[in-house]
Amino acid sequence: MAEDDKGQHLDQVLDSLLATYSNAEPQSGLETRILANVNALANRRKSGRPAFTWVWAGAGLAAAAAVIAAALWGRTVMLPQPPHVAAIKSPAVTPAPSIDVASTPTRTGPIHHTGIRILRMPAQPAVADVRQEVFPTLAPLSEQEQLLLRYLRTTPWEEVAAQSHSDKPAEDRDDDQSFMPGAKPGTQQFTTTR
Amino acid sequence: MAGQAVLGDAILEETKVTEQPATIESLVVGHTLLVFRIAYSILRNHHDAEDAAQECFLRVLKYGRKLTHVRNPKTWLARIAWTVALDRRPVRATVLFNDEQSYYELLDQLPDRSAPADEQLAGRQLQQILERLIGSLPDELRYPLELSTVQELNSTEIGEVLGIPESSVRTRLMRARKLLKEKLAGRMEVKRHG
Repeated sequence: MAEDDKGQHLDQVLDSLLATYSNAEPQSGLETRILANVNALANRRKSGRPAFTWVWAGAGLAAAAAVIAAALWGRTVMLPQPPHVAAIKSPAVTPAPSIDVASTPTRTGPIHHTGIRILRMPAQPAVADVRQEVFPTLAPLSEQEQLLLRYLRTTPWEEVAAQSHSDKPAEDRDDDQSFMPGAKPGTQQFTTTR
Repeated sequence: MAGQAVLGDAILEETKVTEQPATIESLVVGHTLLVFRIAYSILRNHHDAEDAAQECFLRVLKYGRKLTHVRNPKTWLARIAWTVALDRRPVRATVLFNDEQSYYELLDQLPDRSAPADEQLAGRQLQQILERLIGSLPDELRYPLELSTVQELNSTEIGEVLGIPESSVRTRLMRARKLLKEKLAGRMEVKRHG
């Protein structure tokens, strides 16, 4: 019986203590202060939102531009070397333009940020790419042509003209002479066998 | 305790609520006292509880987009308040009541059971004793007991706040009360015979 009384007493004490454990009242005006703080924060966020949005939009655009630039940079790994064109000085006597052609591929490109080493192709002859001022293509004179040119320079014009041949083909001349082998030009020979 | 991680996720519904969503102003007007008392049950200080209430509503504003998915704004807000208060609880308040000397010193302050209950509950010292006794409970018993002292919350809502079934809430409350009674009864026996 005493145990029951003791238990009831403890229950009463606990109930009373727990009932008032959190039975507290805030200071007056707490709602007003909370609303003021909430509204102030909301206004601050509204006013700061456009700048914040623009900052992020700008950052996004910059990142996209960087990605696109990196992608385009990566596609230019194999770059042909620009053609090396020799200047044509004189169409008469200068030899054909000489072009240095590398025999093996060389690593001449710089090492880029992406870690891709650009391998440049050997230089190709640029003859086909160059618009020619004289057609056909200039070529060095052969040995016979050089001898003929030297002969013409050293020999007087009259001697050269005297040694020149007619433009008529040789066949025609042979045909005329074979028609009457013993006849002289300008005379007619007749035979009277009658 | 990560307050943001447990920001009422357990009481959010997947589907969007078709009713008019609660605004933050209506939440402040309707639930400020609830939020304050939940914070006070944990922090045991008026000023700290008011600061926690303000922080609670500021968190609501920060995650205001979730308001449209809240099924029960009351328990959602109670969970936020509970989380904020736990984050603000000083470490010294969670020190367990293991010091035997201070334990008996406090229990010596209990009045004799022959005195009327109203007189026993009148003193502030009793509340301090109860606070320390509750502080000595394990967390799984202390949290439901602290929330049960808030008059605005029933056992179902406490279960939603803690994320446990209602039956578990009732079981833990019974165990907590039993432990508190044993501690009180043991000391009262010592006081009576000593």
